[in-house]
Order: sequence, then C-alpha cells, then structure tokens
Amino acid sequence: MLNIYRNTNEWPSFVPFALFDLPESGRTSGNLRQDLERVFGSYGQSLNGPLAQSSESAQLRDAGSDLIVTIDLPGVSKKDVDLTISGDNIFIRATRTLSAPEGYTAHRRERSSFKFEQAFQLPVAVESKTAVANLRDGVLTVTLPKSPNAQPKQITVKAG
Amino acid sequence: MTQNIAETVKTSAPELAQRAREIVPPVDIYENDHELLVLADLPRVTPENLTVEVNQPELKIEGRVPSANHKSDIVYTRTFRLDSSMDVAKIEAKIIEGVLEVHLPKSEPYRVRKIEVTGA
Repeated sequence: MLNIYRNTNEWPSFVPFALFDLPESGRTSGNLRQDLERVFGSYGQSLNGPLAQSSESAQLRDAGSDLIVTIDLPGVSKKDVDLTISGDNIFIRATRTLSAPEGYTAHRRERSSFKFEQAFQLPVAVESKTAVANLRDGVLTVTLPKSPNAQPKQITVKAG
Repeated sequence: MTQNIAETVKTSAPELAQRAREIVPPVDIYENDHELLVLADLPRVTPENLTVEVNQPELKIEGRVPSANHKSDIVYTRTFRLDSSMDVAKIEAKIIEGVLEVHLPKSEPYRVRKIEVTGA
C-alpha cells in the first residue's frame, strides 16, 4: 500500500480546478474524456508520457460510497508516488526515470521518463483517513470514501 | 550492429476494430552480445490477458484490457519481424508493474564470442 500524506500544512502551492464534471446522477459522463484531455493535455504533449497514448489512462469513477481514481503509471515503483488528500482536493506526484539496461545498446527508444504532477478537485469532499491507494499492474488506484454528507441517500417519498 | 528485428505494420481486422480500441504501446528495443530485449508499456494488462506469440518470422505482442463501464476493450498490439538469428525456443517474457519484458536470445552461431589469442 502506498503512503498517503494527509498533512495539509505541506500542501503544495497550486491552483485547483474542477476536473471531473459529474452530472447530477453522480455517474461519469461522456464528457470525462474531454475533461481529462483538457487537464492532462499539457502533460501529455510536453512529456509524451503514458497519458499521451490514451485518454483512458486516467479515470474517475463514482462507486456510490467511494470515488475511485485510476491513473496508468507503468514501470513506476511505489516509492516514486506521493499522494496528498485534503477535503475535496487530491495531489498526485509520480516519477519514472528510465535508463538503458547495463551492457545493452539501444535500437529503439519510444518509452520515456516522465514526471507527473497533478492536483485535482474532486466533485465531493472525501475522508482522507480511510483513503486507500494501491499500485498494481502499472496502475495507481486511489479509493476515496466520500465524506458522510456526500454519501448517497435514498429519500422515501411519503404519500400526502 | 545489425537490425535483427523490424516492425510489421498491420491494419486491424474489422471485427477487432468494432469490439476494441487499438493502442500502439511505446516500445524500447535493446541488444547485447547474447540477446535482444524488448520492453513495452502495457498498463492494466495482467498476464492472463497478454499473449506473446512467435510465428516465424513474426513476434506479436497483444495485451487486452477488458472494458469498464460498458466501453469497448482496449487492445495493445505490436508486431515485429525477426530475422533468423533468434533462438525462438528460448524466448521468454514477463510483465512487471505494467511493463512487458521479452528476452530473445540469439542462437549459438550469432552470439558474440571473445576468442582468446594464445602465443606460439
């Protein structure tokens, strides 16, 4: 499991912006890809990182009581990932440094090193204490339980 | 150093294109005296959904990511043409943290060998 930093005093300076435009039903829409491209566009273009390959590589899913963020980070080890969560903000930092294996000559090098740094504003506040992050199969999965106020509720309609 | 591996560009079969979105994964190719090493970024691909197939002279890599939320599957695919210097029986592949490693050993006659020169 990854270390998650919850100390808001060490919050890096950034301008948070609304990333995920969830419709009122609380489900992700077809606009998500557009939103991700808008947000990740500069990263993808300037660094030719994994997100440049696919807009599918970062996703937000509303799983009812949790928000689930997944980001493709192939070849990134967990010591090179930092997460900071506070309220409805999440800051993710990940680096991949590639070098030719020793004694080998390169014929083709399309894979690139990258430095991923991104702040997101989530659609609702989350409980940082019970957030869980996992790096597996080259994918970072962050499970963010919604704060009690943001939990889905069913309201019973009473007859007059 | 000679180029023992060349890429084959293929157009996707129409039935595949309908069910899946094809992505060309970035690949590194390295060589030393004993082998070629192919590295490919295949995030979200598990060993069960990955095939590395050699059908002389082709090496085909295909990794499938099953769809989430009723979207189409993602298929990472890449095909290379190998020359005859590879020992096909000894090719090994593994995937670690979403990065595929394919080791293609050179067959005996093509290995670089240092010959010791002895005095008379």
